[in-house]
Amino acid sequence: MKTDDAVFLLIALPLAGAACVLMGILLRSNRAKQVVSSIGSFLALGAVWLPLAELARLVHAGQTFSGTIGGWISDMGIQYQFDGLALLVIALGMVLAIPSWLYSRSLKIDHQVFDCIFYIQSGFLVAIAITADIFNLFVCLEVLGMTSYVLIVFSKKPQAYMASLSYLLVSAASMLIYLLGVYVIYNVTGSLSYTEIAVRIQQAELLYRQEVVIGLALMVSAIALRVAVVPVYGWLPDAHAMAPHPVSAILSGVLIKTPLFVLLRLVVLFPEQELIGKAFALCGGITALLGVLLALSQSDAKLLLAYHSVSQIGFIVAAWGSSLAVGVGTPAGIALMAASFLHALFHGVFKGVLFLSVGTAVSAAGNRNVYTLRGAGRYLAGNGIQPFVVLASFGAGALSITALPPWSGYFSKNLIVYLVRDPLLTGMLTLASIGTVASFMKLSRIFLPTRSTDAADYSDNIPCLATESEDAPFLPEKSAHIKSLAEDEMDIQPTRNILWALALGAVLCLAGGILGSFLFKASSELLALWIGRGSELSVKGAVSPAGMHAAPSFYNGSVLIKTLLMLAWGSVVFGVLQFKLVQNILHRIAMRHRTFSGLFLAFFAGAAGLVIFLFSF
Amino acid sequence: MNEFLLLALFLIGLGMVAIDKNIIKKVIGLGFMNNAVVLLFVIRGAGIGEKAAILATGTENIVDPLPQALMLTAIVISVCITALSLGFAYKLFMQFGTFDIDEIKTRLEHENR
Repeated sequence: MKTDDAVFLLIALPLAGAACVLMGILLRSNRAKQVVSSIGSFLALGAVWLPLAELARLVHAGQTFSGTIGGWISDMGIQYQFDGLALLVIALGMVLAIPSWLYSRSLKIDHQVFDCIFYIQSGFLVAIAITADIFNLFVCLEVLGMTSYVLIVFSKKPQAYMASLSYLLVSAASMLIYLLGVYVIYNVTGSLSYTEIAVRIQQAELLYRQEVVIGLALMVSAIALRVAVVPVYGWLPDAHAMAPHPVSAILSGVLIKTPLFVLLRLVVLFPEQELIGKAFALCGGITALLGVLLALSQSDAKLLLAYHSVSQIGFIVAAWGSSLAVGVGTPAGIALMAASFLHALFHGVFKGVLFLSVGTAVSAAGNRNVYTLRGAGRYLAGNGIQPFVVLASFGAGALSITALPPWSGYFSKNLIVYLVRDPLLTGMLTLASIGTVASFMKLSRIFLPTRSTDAADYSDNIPCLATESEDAPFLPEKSAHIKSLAEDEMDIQPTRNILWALALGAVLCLAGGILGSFLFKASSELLALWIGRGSELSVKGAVSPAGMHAAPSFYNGSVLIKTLLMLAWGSVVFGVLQFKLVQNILHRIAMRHRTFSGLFLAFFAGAAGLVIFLFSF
Repeated sequence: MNEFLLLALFLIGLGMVAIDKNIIKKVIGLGFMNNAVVLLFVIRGAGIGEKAAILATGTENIVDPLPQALMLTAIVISVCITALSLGFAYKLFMQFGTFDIDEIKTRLEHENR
């Protein structure tokens, strides 16, 4: 077997696993079913590491694998490219898949169907990472989208169906806009493969700049919707909050970042990359700030976490955009891109842990309201889940996201703030960090032990504006259609898998913080390898390994003092939040009317804004 | 001329997806948009040559086969999307007895308080 084929094994193994599990459904005996689905799981999640390790070794040694699938001529066939960037994106997905899958064992769902879709998703996460063809990118995005729509509704709540449907409609429409972009680019360049486009765009740019810019803007804005930056983040919070806990973890951890790093491959083909970088950096800063503001106003614990995903993706996009703005190929650009990737990876891990631990707590308590839920540990123990592990892993996740040493977020967040030179952007990111501290102080209270007065105390604090809910502002009203969560049985089974998944995640949080500079070096090298390979692409600048940024250390006086200041300000913000007036305002923000048409309006405003921005230079 | 007709079709579909309150009409609108894009590709591809691109030696002056192949895939995806969204619509209808998306949203928001 050629080593090139190992690349396809990465896609084929998860798909084979999915097929195995599906076939298991046909079998009669339970024992046979179990055997078949174990084989499927092993193929999809275990065996896949072997070719990956071998490929990682080869890629690190400077090899890249590229070509045309099926040996067609390059104008017709689908091109793929396995290089440093692909390796990073795949690693992000694979690392997150394991704790999420472990946790999913304890969901009360149809495991065979769930596993099948989960494995298809992991297969296509690899496919999207190695694709070098704009139409194949469309197919991969659609398949990833479809798997996530289905995974979201495994929680079987009506809210989940609604959230998933909104996501589906917006994202399917945006994908058609993407296809229009493909049409324009194909018209101008006559090719779909990245390498051909990169060559022909140089000539086409002179004659057809308008067409190229419009096509690019259409494709970029459609993918930006999947990344959920401002202004197109609107679909994310509901979809991520209503999904089952492990699906929330994988959606927030992997599926919003993969399109971003795949977009990188596409954007560097075009001379407009720096402008797009600038636009994204600005959007990223705004996203970080707005996400935190909205998170502060939420009362639903998982919705709060989902808004934090929006905020953190803002950090990632800000670094990503700044990197393109200074030129991905320059040392500063590589450092920024590596920082962006590291934060994506670390955020995936700690947000995964947060979703799983908070999810476990709210499931055990049957109450998702941050203001009324107290003493979550007691509910956990009452349901036979070891409260200490859940609490400890929540602590690990919360300390990571608020960027306290030595947890993973401390390294990546400080790295981004350190590397981003733009004072406006740095300011926005710092403010967002302060908001994050305050928000997690608010969320951590669900683990506080109960005092009998607490519940009454907080119920006074909650403003309720709507008349309908005056009688019982936070207990979900019981209607004929929807059962309140509290009435439901717990939607998870208290098995050990939960604890293993949480412990694994918490360990990864710590490992990320300790190995931060090593991971930074490794990902910078891989990115440099990708850029070195793509010298025929119009990547600006060229790096030698010697010219790369070394990872700075953040264990010095000034950064630690900054962290303390951030904590202090965070506490101040948290204190301010306790005022009734502020709570009123926040409540109004949380209850703002969100229409479905608004999602579309935001998308088209964003796309039009991007076109105007690109033309104005 | 064709392009303008297709643009009109696309915009009608878009309007239905974005503005119409009925979920089923939204799904139909999505189908309109998809068909507009598919036809756009096919017509553009067909404008290049005359003969069908069937594997045979000596065929000259063939149409661009790529757009057709792409659109075959796009149609398959569109069918999946339609099926899935109708499935969701059915589930929501069973819960709420209505296809009005705004009403469902408002009711869900009230439940969430």
